[in-house]
Amino acid sequence: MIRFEQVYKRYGGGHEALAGVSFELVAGEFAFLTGHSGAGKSSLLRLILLLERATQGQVLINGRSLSRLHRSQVPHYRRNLGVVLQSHHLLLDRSVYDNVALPLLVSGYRPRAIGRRVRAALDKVGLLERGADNPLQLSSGEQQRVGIARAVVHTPRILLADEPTGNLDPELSAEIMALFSAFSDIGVTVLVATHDVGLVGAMGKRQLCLNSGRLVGDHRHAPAA
Amino acid sequence: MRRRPESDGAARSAVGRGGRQGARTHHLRWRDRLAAAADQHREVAVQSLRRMRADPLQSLATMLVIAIALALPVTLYLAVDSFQRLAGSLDTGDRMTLYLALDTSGGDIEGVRHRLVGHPAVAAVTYVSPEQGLEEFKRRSGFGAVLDLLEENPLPPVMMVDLRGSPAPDTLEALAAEMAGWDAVVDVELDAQWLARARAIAQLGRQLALALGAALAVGVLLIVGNTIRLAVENRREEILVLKLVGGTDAFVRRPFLYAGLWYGLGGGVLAWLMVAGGRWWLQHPLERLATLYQAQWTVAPVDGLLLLALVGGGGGLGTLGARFAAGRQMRNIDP
Repeated sequence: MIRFEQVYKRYGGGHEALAGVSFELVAGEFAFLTGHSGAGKSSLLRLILLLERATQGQVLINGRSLSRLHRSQVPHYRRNLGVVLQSHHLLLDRSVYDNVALPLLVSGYRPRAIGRRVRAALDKVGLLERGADNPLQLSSGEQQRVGIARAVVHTPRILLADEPTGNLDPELSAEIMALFSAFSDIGVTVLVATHDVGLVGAMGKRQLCLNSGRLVGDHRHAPAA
Repeated sequence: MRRRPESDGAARSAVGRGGRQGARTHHLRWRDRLAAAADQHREVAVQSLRRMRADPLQSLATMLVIAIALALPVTLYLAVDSFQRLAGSLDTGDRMTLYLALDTSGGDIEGVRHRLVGHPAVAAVTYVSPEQGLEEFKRRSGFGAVLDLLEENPLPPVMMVDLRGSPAPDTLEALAAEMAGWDAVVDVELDAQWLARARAIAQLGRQLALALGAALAVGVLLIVGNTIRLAVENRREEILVLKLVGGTDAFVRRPFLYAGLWYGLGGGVLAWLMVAGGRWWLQHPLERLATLYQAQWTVAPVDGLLLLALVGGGGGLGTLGARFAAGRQMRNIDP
Protein backbone atom coordinates (compact mmCIF):
# COMPACT_ATOMS: atom_id res chain seq x y z
CA MET A 1 0.00 0.00 0.00
CA ILE A 2 2.82 2.36 0.93
CA ARG A 3 6.16 1.77 -0.73
CA PHE A 4 9.31 3.91 -0.53
CA GLU A 5 12.12 3.23 -3.00
CA GLN A 6 15.44 4.93 -2.23
CA VAL A 7 13.73 8.17 -1.29
CA TYR A 8 15.79 11.28 -0.68
CA LYS A 9 14.50 14.61 0.51
CA ARG A 10 16.80 17.59 0.58
CA TYR A 11 15.77 21.07 1.57
CA GLY A 12 17.31 24.29 0.41
CA GLY A 13 20.57 24.89 2.25
CA GLY A 14 21.67 21.29 1.79
CA HIS A 15 19.88 19.83 4.80
CA GLU A 16 19.09 16.20 4.05
CA ALA A 17 15.86 15.17 5.78
CA LEU A 18 15.64 11.71 4.24
CA ALA A 19 18.45 9.70 2.68
CA GLY A 20 17.85 6.51 0.76
CA VAL A 21 14.76 5.37 2.65
CA SER A 22 13.14 2.15 1.40
CA PHE A 23 10.35 0.16 2.99
CA GLU A 24 6.94 -1.22 2.24
CA LEU A 25 3.71 -1.42 4.22
CA VAL A 26 1.05 -3.80 2.95
CA ALA A 27 -2.65 -3.08 3.15
CA GLY A 28 -4.00 -3.34 6.69
CA GLU A 29 -0.53 -3.19 8.24
CA PHE A 30 0.14 -1.14 11.35
CA ALA A 31 3.60 0.37 11.82
CA PHE A 32 5.26 2.90 14.06
CA LEU A 33 7.75 5.42 12.77
CA THR A 34 10.21 6.26 15.49
CA GLY A 35 13.31 8.35 15.94
CA HIS A 36 14.46 11.54 17.62
CA SER A 37 12.87 14.78 16.66
CA GLY A 38 14.54 15.91 13.47
CA ALA A 39 15.20 12.33 12.38
CA GLY A 40 12.88 12.78 9.40
CA LYS A 41 9.59 11.33 10.67
CA SER A 42 7.53 14.36 9.73
CA SER A 43 9.27 14.70 6.38
CA LEU A 44 8.38 11.13 5.55
CA LEU A 45 4.73 11.69 6.41
CA ARG A 46 4.70 14.94 4.43
CA LEU A 47 5.91 13.05 1.37
CA ILE A 48 3.02 10.60 1.66
CA LEU A 49 0.58 13.49 2.12
CA LEU A 50 2.10 15.19 -0.93
CA LEU A 51 2.72 18.30 1.10
CA GLU A 52 6.17 17.90 -0.35
CA ARG A 53 7.70 15.88 -3.12
CA ALA A 54 10.74 13.63 -2.95
CA THR A 55 13.98 15.06 -4.29
CA GLN A 56 14.96 11.63 -5.54
CA GLY A 57 13.49 8.14 -5.48
CA GLN A 58 9.91 6.94 -5.64
CA VAL A 59 6.99 6.99 -3.28
CA LEU A 60 4.33 4.52 -4.45
CA ILE A 61 0.88 4.46 -2.95
CA ASN A 62 -1.27 1.51 -3.94
CA GLY A 63 1.19 0.83 -6.75
CA ARG A 64 1.00 4.34 -8.14
CA SER A 65 3.97 6.68 -8.16
CA LEU A 66 3.21 9.99 -6.49
CA SER A 67 5.70 11.82 -8.66
CA ARG A 68 3.36 11.35 -11.61
CA LEU A 69 0.43 12.92 -9.82
CA HIS A 70 -0.45 16.31 -11.23
CA ARG A 71 -1.06 19.18 -8.86
CA SER A 72 -4.76 19.20 -9.70
CA GLN A 73 -5.07 15.51 -8.73
CA VAL A 74 -3.55 16.01 -5.30
CA PRO A 75 -6.85 16.87 -3.50
CA HIS A 76 -8.51 13.75 -4.89
CA TYR A 77 -5.52 11.67 -3.85
CA ARG A 78 -5.62 13.08 -0.32
CA ARG A 79 -9.21 11.90 0.09
CA ASN A 80 -7.79 8.37 0.37
CA LEU A 81 -5.81 9.41 3.42
CA GLY A 82 -6.73 10.18 6.99
CA VAL A 83 -4.41 12.39 8.98
CA VAL A 84 -4.04 13.01 12.69
CA LEU A 85 -1.57 15.70 13.67
CA GLN A 86 -0.10 16.54 17.04
CA SER A 87 -1.82 19.89 17.17
CA HIS A 88 -5.33 18.80 16.40
CA HIS A 89 -6.08 21.57 13.86
CA LEU A 90 -9.73 21.72 14.78
CA LEU A 91 -11.66 24.76 13.62
CA LEU A 92 -12.95 26.65 16.61
CA ASP A 93 -15.65 28.59 14.79
CA ARG A 94 -17.82 25.50 14.35
CA SER A 95 -19.09 22.50 16.24
CA VAL A 96 -17.41 19.15 16.75
CA TYR A 97 -19.90 17.69 14.28
CA ASP A 98 -19.02 20.21 11.57
CA ASN A 99 -15.32 19.62 12.13
CA VAL A 100 -15.69 15.90 11.63
CA ALA A 101 -17.87 16.47 8.56
CA LEU A 102 -15.18 18.45 6.69
CA PRO A 103 -13.61 15.56 4.72
CA LEU A 104 -17.08 14.52 3.54
CA LEU A 105 -18.03 18.08 2.70
CA VAL A 106 -15.03 18.56 0.43
CA SER A 107 -15.81 15.25 -1.30
CA GLY A 108 -19.31 16.42 -2.17
CA TYR A 109 -21.46 14.22 0.06
CA ARG A 110 -25.13 15.09 0.59
CA PRO A 111 -26.07 16.27 4.10
CA ARG A 112 -28.00 13.09 4.89
CA ALA A 113 -25.08 10.82 4.06
CA ILE A 114 -22.81 13.13 6.00
CA GLY A 115 -24.92 12.86 9.15
CA ARG A 116 -24.84 9.09 9.19
CA ARG A 117 -21.10 8.87 8.72
CA VAL A 118 -20.22 11.63 11.16
CA ARG A 119 -22.30 10.01 13.88
CA ALA A 120 -20.64 6.65 13.19
CA ALA A 121 -17.17 8.22 13.42
CA LEU A 122 -18.00 10.12 16.60
CA ASP A 123 -19.45 6.95 18.06
CA LYS A 124 -16.23 5.10 17.30
CA VAL A 125 -14.17 7.59 19.34
CA GLY A 126 -16.79 7.71 22.10
CA LEU A 127 -17.93 11.28 21.50
CA LEU A 128 -21.35 10.74 19.97
CA GLU A 129 -22.96 12.98 22.60
CA ARG A 130 -20.56 15.88 22.06
CA GLY A 131 -21.31 16.64 18.42
CA ALA A 132 -23.02 19.95 19.11
CA ASP A 133 -20.24 21.25 21.39
CA ASN A 134 -17.52 23.60 20.39
CA PRO A 135 -14.08 21.95 20.36
CA LEU A 136 -12.97 24.40 23.05
CA GLN A 137 -15.42 22.79 25.49
CA LEU A 138 -13.57 19.48 25.17
CA SER A 139 -10.52 18.22 27.04
CA SER A 140 -7.31 17.83 25.05
CA GLY A 141 -7.79 14.06 24.94
CA GLU A 142 -11.29 14.54 23.57
CA GLN A 143 -10.04 17.09 21.05
CA GLN A 144 -7.48 14.59 19.83
CA ARG A 145 -10.24 12.02 19.45
CA VAL A 146 -12.29 14.48 17.43
CA GLY A 147 -9.23 14.78 15.20
CA ILE A 148 -9.19 11.01 14.82
CA ALA A 149 -12.91 10.92 14.03
CA ARG A 150 -12.25 13.52 11.32
CA ALA A 151 -9.39 11.40 9.98
CA VAL A 152 -11.50 8.25 9.62
CA VAL A 153 -14.97 9.61 8.83
CA HIS A 154 -14.48 9.06 5.10
CA THR A 155 -13.11 5.52 5.64
CA PRO A 156 -9.65 6.21 4.21
CA ARG A 157 -7.39 3.41 3.09
CA ILE A 158 -4.38 4.90 4.81
CA LEU A 159 -4.27 6.52 8.22
CA LEU A 160 -1.27 8.68 9.09
CA ALA A 161 -0.60 10.10 12.52
CA ASP A 162 2.15 12.49 13.59
CA GLU A 163 2.73 12.35 17.36
CA PRO A 164 -0.97 11.79 18.02
CA THR A 165 -0.38 11.23 21.73
CA GLY A 166 2.16 14.01 22.17
CA ASN A 167 0.39 15.79 24.99
CA LEU A 168 -1.79 13.06 26.40
CA ASP A 169 -1.34 10.99 29.53
CA PRO A 170 -0.35 7.30 29.14
CA GLU A 171 -3.85 6.00 29.72
CA LEU A 172 -5.37 8.17 26.99
CA SER A 173 -2.45 7.36 24.70
CA ALA A 174 -3.06 3.65 25.03
CA GLU A 175 -6.74 4.22 24.33
CA ILE A 176 -5.98 6.08 21.13
CA MET A 177 -3.46 3.50 19.99
CA ALA A 178 -6.07 0.81 20.54
CA LEU A 179 -8.35 2.82 18.24
CA PHE A 180 -5.69 2.94 15.53
CA SER A 181 -5.10 -0.77 15.94
CA ALA A 182 -8.80 -1.45 15.48
CA PHE A 183 -8.73 0.47 12.18
CA SER A 184 -5.83 -1.63 10.91
CA ASP A 185 -7.86 -4.72 11.79
CA ILE A 186 -10.50 -3.68 9.27
CA GLY A 187 -7.92 -3.19 6.53
CA VAL A 188 -6.73 0.38 6.96
CA THR A 189 -2.98 0.83 6.59
CA VAL A 190 -1.80 2.76 9.64
CA LEU A 191 1.50 4.60 10.06
CA VAL A 192 2.08 6.39 13.35
CA ALA A 193 5.07 8.64 13.92
CA THR A 194 5.96 8.87 17.59
CA HIS A 195 8.87 9.11 20.00
CA ASP A 196 6.86 7.44 22.76
CA VAL A 197 9.08 4.36 23.03
CA GLY A 198 7.17 2.82 25.91
CA LEU A 199 3.98 2.85 23.94
CA VAL A 200 5.61 1.28 20.90
CA GLY A 201 7.04 -1.52 22.96
CA ALA A 202 3.71 -2.29 24.54
CA MET A 203 1.88 -2.58 21.23
CA GLY A 204 4.06 -5.24 19.62
CA LYS A 205 3.80 -3.74 16.14
CA ARG A 206 6.27 -3.20 13.36
CA GLN A 207 8.66 -0.35 13.99
CA LEU A 208 10.53 1.71 11.42
CA CYS A 209 13.33 3.64 13.07
CA LEU A 210 14.80 6.75 11.48
CA ASN A 211 18.06 8.40 12.42
CA SER A 212 19.30 11.51 10.62
CA GLY A 213 17.13 10.70 7.66
CA ARG A 214 18.25 7.08 7.33
CA LEU A 215 16.19 4.01 8.07
CA VAL A 216 18.30 2.31 10.74
CA GLY A 217 15.83 -0.25 12.00
CA ASP A 218 12.85 -2.21 10.75
CA HIS A 219 11.74 -4.75 13.26
CA ARG A 220 8.79 -6.12 15.12
CA HIS A 221 8.54 -5.97 18.89
CA ALA A 222 7.17 -8.96 20.64
CA PRO A 223 3.97 -7.91 22.34
CA ALA A 224 4.43 -7.21 26.00
CA ALA A 225 3.40 -10.31 27.86
CA MET B 1 -36.61 9.88 -3.38
CA ARG B 2 -39.52 9.59 -5.76
CA ARG B 3 -39.55 5.80 -5.68
CA ARG B 4 -41.92 4.16 -3.26
CA PRO B 5 -40.55 0.73 -2.39
CA GLU B 6 -43.66 -0.05 -0.30
CA SER B 7 -45.73 -0.13 -3.47
CA ASP B 8 -45.69 -3.64 -4.84
CA GLY B 9 -46.50 -2.61 -8.40
CA ALA B 10 -43.68 -0.10 -8.47
CA ALA B 11 -41.21 -2.71 -7.23
CA ARG B 12 -42.32 -5.22 -9.85
CA SER B 13 -42.11 -2.75 -12.68
CA ALA B 14 -38.63 -1.77 -11.49
CA VAL B 15 -37.62 -5.42 -11.79
CA GLY B 16 -39.25 -5.60 -15.19
CA ARG B 17 -37.16 -2.72 -16.40
CA GLY B 18 -34.02 -4.44 -15.22
CA GLY B 19 -32.32 -3.92 -18.56
CA ARG B 20 -32.43 -0.17 -18.17
CA GLN B 21 -31.42 -0.23 -14.55
CA GLY B 22 -27.78 0.54 -15.26
CA ALA B 23 -28.56 3.64 -17.24
CA ARG B 24 -31.08 4.76 -14.65
CA THR B 25 -28.63 4.36 -11.82
CA HIS B 26 -26.04 6.32 -13.67
CA HIS B 27 -28.55 9.02 -14.40
CA LEU B 28 -29.54 9.23 -10.75
CA ARG B 29 -25.96 9.41 -9.63
CA TRP B 30 -25.30 12.23 -12.00
CA ARG B 31 -28.37 14.03 -10.73
CA ASP B 32 -27.34 13.36 -7.15
CA ARG B 33 -23.97 14.89 -7.75
CA LEU B 34 -25.52 17.92 -9.37
CA ALA B 35 -27.94 18.28 -6.47
CA ALA B 36 -25.09 17.94 -3.99
CA ALA B 37 -23.15 20.64 -5.82
CA ALA B 38 -26.21 22.90 -5.82
CA ASP B 39 -26.74 22.28 -2.10
CA GLN B 40 -23.17 23.14 -1.44
CA HIS B 41 -23.23 26.32 -3.48
CA ARG B 42 -26.36 27.44 -1.68
CA GLU B 43 -24.85 26.71 1.70
CA VAL B 44 -21.58 28.43 0.89
CA ALA B 45 -23.46 31.45 -0.47
CA VAL B 46 -25.54 31.75 2.68
CA GLN B 47 -22.51 31.26 4.92
CA SER B 48 -20.61 33.99 3.12
CA LEU B 49 -23.55 36.33 3.67
CA ARG B 50 -23.65 35.43 7.35
CA ARG B 51 -19.97 36.14 7.72
CA MET B 52 -20.51 39.58 6.21
CA ARG B 53 -23.40 40.24 8.56
CA ALA B 54 -21.11 39.41 11.46
CA ASP B 55 -19.11 42.54 10.62
CA PRO B 56 -21.74 44.83 9.09
CA LEU B 57 -19.77 48.07 9.31
CA GLN B 58 -16.77 46.70 7.47
CA SER B 59 -19.01 45.06 4.86
CA LEU B 60 -21.00 48.24 4.33
CA ALA B 61 -17.82 50.30 4.01
CA THR B 62 -16.51 47.97 1.31
CA MET B 63 -19.81 48.09 -0.54
CA LEU B 64 -19.93 51.89 -0.31
CA VAL B 65 -16.48 52.25 -1.82
CA ILE B 66 -17.52 49.93 -4.65
CA ALA B 67 -20.76 51.89 -5.05
CA ILE B 68 -18.93 55.20 -5.39
CA ALA B 69 -16.53 53.71 -7.90
CA LEU B 70 -19.47 52.44 -9.95
CA ALA B 71 -21.66 55.52 -9.55
CA LEU B 72 -19.06 58.08 -10.71
CA PRO B 73 -18.61 56.94 -14.31
CA VAL B 74 -22.28 56.09 -14.62
CA THR B 75 -23.24 59.59 -13.51
CA LEU B 76 -20.88 61.14 -16.03
CA TYR B 77 -22.26 58.91 -18.73
CA LEU B 78 -25.84 59.79 -17.87
CA ALA B 79 -24.95 63.50 -17.87
CA VAL B 80 -23.41 63.21 -21.33
CA ASP B 81 -26.39 61.24 -22.56
CA SER B 82 -28.79 63.84 -21.18
CA PHE B 83 -26.78 66.64 -22.75
CA GLN B 84 -27.05 64.89 -26.07
CA ARG B 85 -30.77 64.47 -25.66
CA LEU B 86 -31.01 68.20 -24.92
CA ALA B 87 -28.96 69.03 -28.01
CA GLY B 88 -31.15 66.77 -30.10
CA SER B 89 -34.38 68.26 -28.85
CA LEU B 90 -33.52 71.95 -29.33
CA ASP B 91 -35.42 73.66 -32.13
CA THR B 92 -32.41 74.55 -34.26
CA GLY B 93 -31.86 71.69 -36.60
CA ASP B 94 -35.13 71.52 -38.45
CA ARG B 95 -34.78 74.79 -40.31
CA MET B 96 -32.50 75.69 -43.20
CA THR B 97 -31.82 78.67 -45.36
CA LEU B 98 -31.11 78.44 -49.10
CA TYR B 99 -29.23 81.35 -50.71
CA LEU B 100 -29.79 81.70 -54.44
CA ALA B 101 -27.54 83.35 -56.98
CA LEU B 102 -27.93 87.16 -57.27
CA ASP B 103 -28.94 87.04 -60.89
CA THR B 104 -31.47 84.25 -60.59
CA SER B 105 -34.44 84.88 -62.83
CA GLY B 106 -38.00 84.89 -61.54
CA GLY B 107 -38.67 81.61 -63.36
CA ASP B 108 -35.70 79.87 -61.78
CA ILE B 109 -36.72 81.14 -58.37
CA GLU B 110 -40.18 79.72 -58.95
CA GLY B 111 -38.53 76.45 -60.07
CA VAL B 112 -36.53 76.10 -56.82
CA ARG B 113 -39.60 76.97 -54.82
CA HIS B 114 -41.59 74.35 -56.66
CA ARG B 115 -38.95 71.76 -56.07
CA LEU B 116 -38.84 72.54 -52.37
CA VAL B 117 -42.58 72.34 -51.91
CA GLY B 118 -42.58 68.96 -53.64
CA HIS B 119 -39.75 67.61 -51.49
CA PRO B 120 -40.90 65.02 -48.96
CA ALA B 121 -38.72 66.41 -46.15
CA VAL B 122 -40.05 69.95 -46.47
CA ALA B 123 -43.01 71.20 -44.45
CA ALA B 124 -43.16 74.86 -45.54
CA VAL B 125 -41.25 77.32 -47.70
CA THR B 126 -41.06 81.06 -47.32
CA TYR B 127 -39.53 83.11 -50.12
CA VAL B 128 -37.74 86.29 -49.17
CA SER B 129 -36.95 88.44 -52.17
CA PRO B 130 -33.83 90.65 -52.16
CA GLU B 131 -36.08 93.70 -51.70
CA GLN B 132 -37.88 92.18 -48.73
CA GLY B 133 -34.55 91.18 -47.32
CA LEU B 134 -33.20 94.68 -47.61
CA GLU B 135 -36.29 96.16 -46.01
CA GLU B 136 -35.97 93.80 -43.12
CA PHE B 137 -32.28 94.50 -42.74
CA LYS B 138 -32.90 98.25 -42.74
CA ARG B 139 -35.53 97.90 -40.10
CA ARG B 140 -33.46 95.66 -37.84
CA SER B 141 -30.02 97.14 -38.23
CA GLY B 142 -30.92 100.83 -38.09
CA PHE B 143 -28.53 101.50 -40.97
CA GLY B 144 -31.44 102.58 -43.16
CA ALA B 145 -29.91 105.86 -44.36
CA VAL B 146 -26.56 104.28 -45.10
CA LEU B 147 -28.13 101.45 -47.01
CA ASP B 148 -30.06 103.92 -49.15
CA LEU B 149 -26.70 104.99 -50.55
CA LEU B 150 -26.18 101.61 -52.15
CA GLU B 151 -26.76 101.62 -55.85
CA GLU B 152 -27.63 98.01 -56.04
CA ASN B 153 -29.22 95.55 -53.64
CA PRO B 154 -26.38 93.25 -52.47
CA LEU B 155 -28.74 90.67 -50.98
CA PRO B 156 -29.54 87.41 -52.75
CA PRO B 157 -32.97 85.81 -53.03
CA VAL B 158 -33.52 83.54 -50.03
CA MET B 159 -35.70 80.51 -49.35
CA MET B 160 -36.51 79.81 -45.69
CA VAL B 161 -37.32 76.14 -45.38
CA ASP B 162 -39.11 74.47 -42.46
CA LEU B 163 -38.54 70.76 -42.38
CA ARG B 164 -40.89 68.00 -41.41
CA GLY B 165 -40.25 66.54 -37.93
CA SER B 166 -36.79 66.75 -36.37
CA PRO B 167 -34.37 65.00 -38.67
CA ALA B 168 -31.17 63.55 -37.25
CA PRO B 169 -28.03 65.64 -37.80
CA ASP B 170 -26.73 63.23 -40.43
CA THR B 171 -29.98 63.36 -42.42
CA LEU B 172 -29.94 67.12 -42.15
CA GLU B 173 -26.47 67.41 -43.58
CA ALA B 174 -27.29 65.03 -46.37
CA LEU B 175 -30.34 67.11 -47.18
CA ALA B 176 -28.32 70.32 -47.20
CA ALA B 177 -25.74 68.76 -49.49
CA GLU B 178 -28.48 67.61 -51.84
CA MET B 179 -30.07 71.05 -52.11
CA ALA B 180 -26.71 72.78 -52.46
CA GLY B 181 -26.34 70.83 -55.69
CA TRP B 182 -29.46 72.32 -57.25
CA ASP B 183 -29.31 74.92 -60.00
CA ALA B 184 -29.32 78.49 -58.78
CA VAL B 185 -28.65 77.46 -55.19
CA VAL B 186 -25.37 79.00 -54.04
CA ASP B 187 -25.32 78.05 -50.40
CA VAL B 188 -27.34 76.13 -47.85
CA GLU B 189 -27.04 77.13 -44.25
CA LEU B 190 -28.19 75.10 -41.30
CA ASP B 191 -27.19 75.42 -37.70
CA ALA B 192 -25.03 72.38 -38.19
CA GLN B 193 -22.00 73.92 -36.60
CA TRP B 194 -23.63 74.12 -33.26
CA LEU B 195 -24.78 70.54 -33.64
CA ALA B 196 -21.33 69.39 -34.63
CA ARG B 197 -19.85 71.05 -31.58
CA ALA B 198 -22.42 69.50 -29.31
CA ARG B 199 -21.71 66.14 -30.84
CA ALA B 200 -17.97 66.52 -30.36
CA ILE B 201 -18.43 67.51 -26.71
CA ALA B 202 -20.76 64.56 -26.15
CA GLN B 203 -18.25 62.22 -27.78
CA LEU B 204 -15.49 63.57 -25.55
CA GLY B 205 -17.67 63.17 -22.47
CA ARG B 206 -18.60 59.66 -23.44
CA GLN B 207 -15.01 58.64 -23.96
CA LEU B 208 -14.07 60.27 -20.68
CA ALA B 209 -16.81 58.29 -18.94
CA LEU B 210 -15.47 55.13 -20.53
CA ALA B 211 -11.90 55.82 -19.41
CA LEU B 212 -13.07 56.75 -15.93
CA GLY B 213 -15.16 53.60 -15.88
CA ALA B 214 -12.20 51.43 -16.85
CA ALA B 215 -9.97 53.03 -14.21
CA LEU B 216 -12.59 52.68 -11.51
CA ALA B 217 -13.34 49.09 -12.54
CA VAL B 218 -9.70 48.32 -11.79
CA GLY B 219 -10.27 50.17 -8.53
CA VAL B 220 -13.20 47.90 -7.68
CA LEU B 221 -11.06 44.84 -8.44
CA LEU B 222 -8.39 46.12 -6.06
CA ILE B 223 -10.86 47.03 -3.31
CA VAL B 224 -12.55 43.64 -3.40
CA GLY B 225 -9.17 41.96 -3.80
CA ASN B 226 -7.82 43.61 -0.70
CA THR B 227 -10.88 42.78 1.38
CA ILE B 228 -10.77 39.18 0.24
CA ARG B 229 -7.03 38.95 0.85
CA LEU B 230 -7.64 39.89 4.50
CA ALA B 231 -10.49 37.40 4.75
CA VAL B 232 -8.28 34.64 3.38
CA GLU B 233 -5.58 35.56 5.89
CA ASN B 234 -8.10 35.44 8.73
CA ARG B 235 -9.18 31.96 7.74
CA ARG B 236 -5.73 30.52 7.18
CA GLU B 237 -6.28 27.64 9.58
CA GLU B 238 -9.51 26.63 7.87
CA ILE B 239 -7.89 26.67 4.45
CA LEU B 240 -5.04 24.58 5.80
CA VAL B 241 -7.39 21.93 7.14
CA LEU B 242 -9.54 21.90 4.02
CA LYS B 243 -6.49 21.37 1.84
CA LEU B 244 -5.27 18.61 4.14
CA VAL B 245 -8.53 16.65 3.91
CA GLY B 246 -8.60 16.89 0.12
CA GLY B 247 -10.46 20.11 -0.64
CA THR B 248 -9.81 21.20 -4.22
CA ASP B 249 -8.66 24.74 -4.93
CA ALA B 250 -12.12 25.50 -6.30
CA PHE B 251 -13.77 24.28 -3.12
CA VAL B 252 -11.47 26.25 -0.86
CA ARG B 253 -11.87 29.36 -2.99
CA ARG B 254 -15.65 29.19 -3.26
CA PRO B 255 -16.66 31.01 -0.06
CA PHE B 256 -14.38 33.89 -0.99
CA LEU B 257 -15.79 34.12 -4.49
CA TYR B 258 -19.28 34.35 -3.02
CA ALA B 259 -18.11 37.03 -0.60
CA GLY B 260 -16.75 38.99 -3.58
CA LEU B 261 -20.02 38.46 -5.42
CA TRP B 262 -22.05 39.76 -2.46
CA TYR B 263 -19.82 42.81 -2.07
CA GLY B 264 -20.19 43.55 -5.76
CA LEU B 265 -23.96 43.06 -5.81
CA GLY B 266 -24.38 45.22 -2.71
CA GLY B 267 -22.14 47.87 -4.23
CA GLY B 268 -24.18 47.78 -7.44
CA VAL B 269 -27.46 48.32 -5.61
CA LEU B 270 -25.98 51.14 -3.53
CA ALA B 271 -24.55 52.74 -6.67
CA TRP B 272 -27.99 52.71 -8.28
CA LEU B 273 -29.50 54.29 -5.16
CA MET B 274 -26.83 57.00 -5.29
CA VAL B 275 -27.50 57.77 -8.93
CA ALA B 276 -31.26 57.67 -8.46
CA GLY B 277 -30.92 59.91 -5.39
CA GLY B 278 -28.81 62.38 -7.31
CA ARG B 279 -31.31 62.36 -10.14
CA TRP B 280 -34.14 63.06 -7.72
CA TRP B 281 -32.17 65.85 -6.07
CA LEU B 282 -31.53 67.55 -9.42
CA GLN B 283 -35.11 67.13 -10.61
CA HIS B 284 -36.18 70.80 -10.29
CA PRO B 285 -33.10 72.51 -11.72
CA LEU B 286 -33.19 70.14 -14.66
CA GLU B 287 -36.84 70.85 -15.33
CA ARG B 288 -36.19 74.59 -15.21
CA LEU B 289 -33.33 74.20 -17.63
CA ALA B 290 -35.62 72.33 -20.00
CA THR B 291 -38.24 75.08 -19.80
CA LEU B 292 -35.66 77.75 -20.48
CA TYR B 293 -34.64 75.97 -23.66
CA GLN B 294 -38.30 75.37 -24.48
CA ALA B 295 -37.27 71.82 -25.11
CA GLN B 296 -39.16 68.56 -25.00
CA TRP B 297 -36.46 67.10 -22.87
CA THR B 298 -36.15 64.09 -20.60
CA VAL B 299 -33.00 63.29 -18.66
CA ALA B 300 -31.49 59.85 -19.31
CA PRO B 301 -33.59 57.44 -17.24
CA VAL B 302 -32.38 55.89 -13.98
CA ASP B 303 -34.38 52.71 -14.40
CA GLY B 304 -34.48 48.97 -13.90
CA LEU B 305 -32.15 48.39 -16.81
CA LEU B 306 -29.52 50.62 -15.24
CA LEU B 307 -30.01 48.77 -11.93
CA LEU B 308 -29.49 45.50 -13.74
CA ALA B 309 -26.34 46.81 -15.41
CA LEU B 310 -24.92 48.14 -12.14
CA VAL B 311 -25.73 45.00 -10.16
CA GLY B 312 -24.40 42.80 -12.95
CA GLY B 313 -21.24 44.84 -13.37
CA GLY B 314 -20.69 45.05 -9.62
CA GLY B 315 -21.26 41.33 -9.13
CA GLY B 316 -18.95 40.43 -12.00
CA LEU B 317 -16.17 42.73 -10.84
CA GLY B 318 -16.55 41.56 -7.24
CA THR B 319 -16.26 37.91 -8.19
CA LEU B 320 -13.32 38.59 -10.48
CA GLY B 321 -11.48 40.61 -7.84
CA ALA B 322 -12.07 37.86 -5.29
CA ARG B 323 -10.86 35.25 -7.74
CA PHE B 324 -7.59 37.05 -8.34
CA ALA B 325 -6.92 37.76 -4.68
CA ALA B 326 -7.99 34.37 -3.33
CA GLY B 327 -6.09 32.47 -6.01
CA ARG B 328 -2.89 34.38 -5.35
CA GLN B 329 -3.18 34.27 -1.59
CA MET B 330 -4.12 30.61 -1.42
CA ARG B 331 -1.02 29.45 -3.19
CA ASN B 332 0.92 30.83 -0.24
CA ILE B 333 -1.03 28.74 2.25
CA ASP B 334 0.12 25.18 2.25
CA PRO B 335 -0.19 22.79 5.15
